[in-house]
Amino acid sequence: MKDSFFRSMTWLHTWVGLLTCWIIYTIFFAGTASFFRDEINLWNQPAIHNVQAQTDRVAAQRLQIIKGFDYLNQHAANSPSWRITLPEERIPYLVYGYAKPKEPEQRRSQFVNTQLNPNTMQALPPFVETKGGNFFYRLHYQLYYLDAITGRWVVCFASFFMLLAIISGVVIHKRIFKDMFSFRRNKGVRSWLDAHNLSSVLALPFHLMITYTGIITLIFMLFPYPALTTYDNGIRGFFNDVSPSNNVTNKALGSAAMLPINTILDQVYTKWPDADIRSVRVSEPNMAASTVTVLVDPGKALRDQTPRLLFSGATGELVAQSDDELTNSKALYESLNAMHTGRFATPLLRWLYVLGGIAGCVMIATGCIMWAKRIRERSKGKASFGLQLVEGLNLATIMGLPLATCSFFIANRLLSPTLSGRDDKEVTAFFLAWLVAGVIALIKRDKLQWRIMAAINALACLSVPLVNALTTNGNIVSYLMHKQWALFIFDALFLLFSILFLVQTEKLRTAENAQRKTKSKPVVKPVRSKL
Amino acid sequence: MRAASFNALLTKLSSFSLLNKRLSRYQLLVFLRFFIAIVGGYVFTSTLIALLSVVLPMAKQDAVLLCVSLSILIYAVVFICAFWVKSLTTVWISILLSSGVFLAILASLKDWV
Repeated sequence: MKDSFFRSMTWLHTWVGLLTCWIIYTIFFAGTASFFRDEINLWNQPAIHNVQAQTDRVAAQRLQIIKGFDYLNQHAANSPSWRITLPEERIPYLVYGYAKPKEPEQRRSQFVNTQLNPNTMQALPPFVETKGGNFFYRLHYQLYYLDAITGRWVVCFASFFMLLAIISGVVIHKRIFKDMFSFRRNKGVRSWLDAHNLSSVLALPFHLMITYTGIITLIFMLFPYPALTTYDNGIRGFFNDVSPSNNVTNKALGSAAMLPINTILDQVYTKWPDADIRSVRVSEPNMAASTVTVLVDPGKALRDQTPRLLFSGATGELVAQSDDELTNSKALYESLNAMHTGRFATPLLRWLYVLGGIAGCVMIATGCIMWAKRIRERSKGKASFGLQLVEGLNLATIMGLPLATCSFFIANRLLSPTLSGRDDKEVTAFFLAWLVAGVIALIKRDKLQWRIMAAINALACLSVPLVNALTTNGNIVSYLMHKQWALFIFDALFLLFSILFLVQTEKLRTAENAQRKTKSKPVVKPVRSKL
Repeated sequence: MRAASFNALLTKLSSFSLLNKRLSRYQLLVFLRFFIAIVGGYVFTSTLIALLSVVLPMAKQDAVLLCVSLSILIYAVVFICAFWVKSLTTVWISILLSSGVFLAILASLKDWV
């Protein structure tokens, strides 16, 4: 629309980036935290801190499933469904659960879960109510306080704008290789641009991949049309076609005794001798129509749909199964999804994902700070409403989210374990802290407010491991001594961020002093880049 | 001729008051550009992949999965093009026309009319 392709893409990059940067920052922030979903779940649940990882996890699975069937038969023979969830490498405990009969107004039936220590097979102390890592996971793709579907649409479009910002950013970027190695410190806007380029270019494949695949995870909401035109009964028909389902015995009537689960497990292990079973689900147990679904860990395969076998619970007949070999289209779609969630990732790869996510946060934060700085320079003291709004949102989002996160974890430790609706109160603590940051940003948005927020964040990050040490039996030193790495790294990361915020406070203080000194002298005009 | 009448239309459109404040011509152009990029791009992508999923010679579920996997790529390219092409009229006409053609073929294939 401008005179040249280059100029119109620059314009596009600026505006699509600026319009969505705060939502995208929130999405990236929550998404990065979600790579540690299991670890956050663990930290938020002190009852399972001391559950030792099993040494023979996969070998113990058969017995755990058999015991689960005995337990569920004893306690909930007439329940509409059962679910046995086995321990995983990052989830140390075992769950036997059964559904309560559905109330008319409920969309999904409620589960009664019993958590066990897989080493002793004893029930664990009652869990505290917490959303844990699932809070960040949901925040990541459907925001909060918004209807889930509306939230997903917002996330979808924000992500699409992000994708456009990345593409146009690459187009307007002339020296991709050179910028990988250039960072000019203390040069005003130039330094922010360098930081923006550096964080974008270094992790560019990650940014492109994660944004594209992110939209693909919600694609059937965004573009349902191919499924609608191809299948007579639309999306439902498509999903019925894609996911294996029991069409053989699910219409059978009357009750029928369950076959011993051992015979079903024998079939599973014949097909997959090294199967690492994730969970066993039973619908309509003790009925002729019952289905037993065995879900197996896909390992390192780029698959989103968990490999599974479906059996008739009454006859033990194999009635359906997931594809052994994926067709090309399916492989494409499944790998796009799997790449986004990164469930297959080994610890090293998981850390690379996290570093990519952090680079994304830095890229977005530097981008919107740079815009505000540049306009501020040009406007020579008189700030328009738009500029003030951007500066306010920058401060409130970039500095507010870390504070909100700390407050979420501190609330998890300080709220009474028996409080009803405790999980919602943790979330309230999250948003209240964010509101505080918003109020500070509303008052003023100068270096001083950034310094205040940095100092508050340093304090908040420090108090997470401290509060943890005071309220639970463990602390960062004991985690190190007992090799509880997940918990140790969790606390250590907060200490690290506390130090980083402290450094920021110090930097801002010296910058403020320098600003005060040079106020009388003529200001040296910083080099304005071509962008 | 076409450009002139389009200009007249623009002037007419921008004189519509929004909160009693006249939109500047530039603002209106930006709005129309974003509108065709977002909504037009969406309609273009939807009709194209809906058509593709019907005509592609592969199993139904494969066609659907391939089409949705490519959808965002198509949408992004159309969006960028909508900002790349200098003439706004060309952008509007080509997107509306191509979406219309896709829809017409699809409708005739599916016996919707």
